[in-house]
Amino acid sequence: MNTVNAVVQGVLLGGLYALVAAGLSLVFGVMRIVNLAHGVLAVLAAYGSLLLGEHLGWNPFLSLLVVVPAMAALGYALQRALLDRALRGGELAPLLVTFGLAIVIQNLLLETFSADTQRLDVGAFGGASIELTDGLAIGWFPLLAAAAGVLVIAGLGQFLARTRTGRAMRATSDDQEAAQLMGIDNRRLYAVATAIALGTVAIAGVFLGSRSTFDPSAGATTLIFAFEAVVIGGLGSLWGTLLGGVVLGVAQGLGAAIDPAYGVLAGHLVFLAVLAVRPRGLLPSAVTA
Amino acid sequence: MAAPLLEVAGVGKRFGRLTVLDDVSFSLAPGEAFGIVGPNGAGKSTLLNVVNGVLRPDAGSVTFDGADVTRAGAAARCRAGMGRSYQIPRPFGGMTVLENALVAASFGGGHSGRAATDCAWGALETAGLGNQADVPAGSLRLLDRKRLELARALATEPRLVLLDEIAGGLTEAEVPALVETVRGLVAQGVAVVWIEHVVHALVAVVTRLLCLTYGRVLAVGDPHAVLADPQVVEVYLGSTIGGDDPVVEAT
Repeated sequence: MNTVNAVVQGVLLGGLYALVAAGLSLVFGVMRIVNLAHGVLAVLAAYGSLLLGEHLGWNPFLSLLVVVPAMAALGYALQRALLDRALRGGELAPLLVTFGLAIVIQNLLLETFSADTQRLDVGAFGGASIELTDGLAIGWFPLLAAAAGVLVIAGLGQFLARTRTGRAMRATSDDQEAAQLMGIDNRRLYAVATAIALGTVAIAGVFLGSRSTFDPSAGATTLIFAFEAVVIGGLGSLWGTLLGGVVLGVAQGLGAAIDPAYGVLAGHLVFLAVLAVRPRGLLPSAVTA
Repeated sequence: MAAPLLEVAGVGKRFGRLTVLDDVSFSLAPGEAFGIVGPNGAGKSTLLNVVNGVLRPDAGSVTFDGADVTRAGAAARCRAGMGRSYQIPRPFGGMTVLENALVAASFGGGHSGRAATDCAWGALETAGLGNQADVPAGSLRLLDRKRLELARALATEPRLVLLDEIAGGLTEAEVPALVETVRGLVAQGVAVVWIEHVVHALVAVVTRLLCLTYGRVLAVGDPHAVLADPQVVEVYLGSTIGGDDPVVEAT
């Protein structure tokens, strides 16, 4: 029973990891940028929600209405002002620039909010659960978080498959120069991709901040889990990212069932094992010609 | 005389110390079919890259439809009506054939919704890919990849298409179909600049020919006159077209 419970909770946690990782996967898929500031941007969104809660009394879910568009706008501006320049500087430049950005944001948060741990309050909903059988209960909140992860991934998938802009992103991902010859303005497209990525990471940040405590340095672990989910699933594949999140979540759940201290370690070990056995990930995106 | 659709004036391009293009000039009337020949390394593909904005020239200017586009990017020139197909096909391998054309129709052609789909279908039909619309582009064989290059260029609804060796690598049996397709384009009033080693395919369509060697214009004018030019013959001596091309032998 303990094992079943660990797997179920792990799957739900995996949905949340996929939610965090979706934007990372999108940005890598379209621009080949590994955004090292992704984790701390999720934390930034959580602090945004915290402010709205403290000053206006808004529930974290309500705050999404403001936090998501705000983060998307930030993403658009960030791409136009900073990351476009970094992209022109070769492969290493975006890594360095996003790493620097992560440090700057983390320290700004530290300066503004201090190092105290915070938590977003979703009220009684946070602890409510459905009792399935004796000893196996599913919390409403983890279920909602996982559902949000699946919805975001499915939504992004539909967006990429069916819309004009989505197709342009896939074309640019396949061959950036050829895409320009089709009349695609790749700078505008990149800005839209980053805006969407930061919109999704805002949702992820609010869920993460409601699930457990956070402080300005929480971005690093968030980034690592998201990165592991993306790599386990296969770089550039959205459904792979969902699978990667679930694999990571279950590994952590099972590890923690043995000993609470082993949870994170078990996740890292599975990540290393996947890298060793299937370096392209479990569901690598279609090989481009 | 009608104002030229494309005017390339004194274009020069260097890669480091290597001069790839040196003072190249030519102009093209709307709807004209123009051929470019020259030995490997003459700078033909570089010239197309300068014309459509993938590369910036070090000297000279490119004027399209009366506007100086020397500083404009490739995407802007595509939207202005300049289509391009690559020598080595570069399909968006993760997308279907129709989606490839749809991207071109949506952005280069500026269409949306139903109109974009119609435009993409039209381009696929013209290029002879109508029955393979749902095939992943990455799994096409060479002839169909070349057709897809052409279809994508057409779906941007260009007034000028730059074709880079679309017959290269095809079998003798496959070439006539492609020649017919290009001839059909010209008949619709689309201007064509066509680089080709398969000279008989070229001569069957173009009304003027330019011979490029070492980045310079060696001769330009009536195709048969250019191919009969002693300098041009000398450049091609021993290379593919000198021996087996009926046009050259006849003159």
